[in-house]
Amino acid sequence: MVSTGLEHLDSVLGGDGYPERSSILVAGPPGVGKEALGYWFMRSGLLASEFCLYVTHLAVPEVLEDMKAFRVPTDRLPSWIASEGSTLKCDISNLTSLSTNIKESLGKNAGDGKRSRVITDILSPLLMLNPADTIYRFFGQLLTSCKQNNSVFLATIEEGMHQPQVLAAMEQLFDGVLELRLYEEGPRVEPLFRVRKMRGMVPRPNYFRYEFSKGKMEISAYVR
Amino acid sequence: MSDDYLILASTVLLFALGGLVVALYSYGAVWAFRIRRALMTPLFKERATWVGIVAIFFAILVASNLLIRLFAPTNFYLSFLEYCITNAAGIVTFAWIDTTIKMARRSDPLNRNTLKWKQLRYVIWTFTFLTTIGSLVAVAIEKINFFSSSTYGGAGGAFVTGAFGWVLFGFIALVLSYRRSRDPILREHLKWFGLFLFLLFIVDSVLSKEFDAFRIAGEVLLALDAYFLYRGVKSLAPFSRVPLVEQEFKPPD
Repeated sequence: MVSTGLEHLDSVLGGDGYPERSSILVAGPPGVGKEALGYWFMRSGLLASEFCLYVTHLAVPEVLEDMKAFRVPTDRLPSWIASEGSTLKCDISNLTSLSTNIKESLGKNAGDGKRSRVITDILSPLLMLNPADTIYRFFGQLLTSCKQNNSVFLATIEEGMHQPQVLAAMEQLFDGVLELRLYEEGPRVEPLFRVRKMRGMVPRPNYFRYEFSKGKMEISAYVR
Repeated sequence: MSDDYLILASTVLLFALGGLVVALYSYGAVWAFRIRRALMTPLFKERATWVGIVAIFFAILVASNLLIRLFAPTNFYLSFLEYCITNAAGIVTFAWIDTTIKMARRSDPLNRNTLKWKQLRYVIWTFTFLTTIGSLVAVAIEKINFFSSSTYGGAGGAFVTGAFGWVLFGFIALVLSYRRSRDPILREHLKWFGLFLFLLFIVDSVLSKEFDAFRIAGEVLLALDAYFLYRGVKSLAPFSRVPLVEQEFKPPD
């Protein structure tokens, strides 16, 4: 198993985190903190001296600023494929170059069967610019390739930006799906999350309240 | 006698409507801070904060405008206070625009720097502060009364001098960002906030007239404007219905 980098989340997932050679999708509307799961997952990998690749449509300084805001230490940094501030450019209008960059980067740095981690926020931008079936095929191939490289792949997707059937189709590609949402309960607004599916885990429809504070994700039981 | 009765009735009506407007703006502010608490991403929290502050400032602005205009319209110091509040409302509205443009950029799949906003924002912020301070100093030196001057009062003043002049510029950048963003949630928020700003501009023109009939109509429109702001606040993030599942979870010691 591969630690999520967040003790409480590991606990919810059965104690050890994400399955080996898995692909995880974090779904939710903008602003709920999906990217923080990616940052902590990356941090955990860097501390374990694993190769980590962060693929983003943003500029590197923007991601670093975000990490600092979530109190994720930035003393160790991953390899970047970003729109600005990295050697390898993230050009989301060129799928071939994107795929080659990711695969080559993993091939060079995560050889000898050593575990690596890939974190990305490009799924939603890609779906905005390309037909859904193209992206479905692209990600299908990319995830297979990453698993062959002994990688755990974590992607975020914005709910509310794509058709529900597109979202459902994308979820089929991934081994695990975490859902983060805001729920309106009378005068209160509750951030809740659940594990919609996870390979090797009995499905649990349970919801949890969560909060990012003091550099960690605190999860508690949600009782209505 | 009947004139006195009419004046009293219109004053009571103005106060009742003003109270409603203040309550609506305040309710919008309460929701903005509730949503802010639930949001996790710093940039989204920042936007919710500014929207909440905008709502608070407009509640204060409407209340003070109503009270000062009625009880002490010739008092220069109170008029100056009103002018300061108006400019502060302009500044916080611009702060909201600035944050929203940053967000719109992130939801643009190509991450484009619309109108070079990343660099331009520093220039505009500098000008916003300079023009605001300049206009405040000018008003203080000239002892211009906000409520009676045709130059500085109402739409002719607050909306084209000081902070609100730059709000209009920021609005142009916002419209361009809106067109590039593919986020329907952000677009919904911008739609309501755009209506809020547009109606505010119209209302300010009406309120600047001295006739009570216009002022009553203005307060009615302001109530609608406060509703637009409230809808803008509620569209800061999409909500789902509360699930009917309960469970136990013990976090690790």
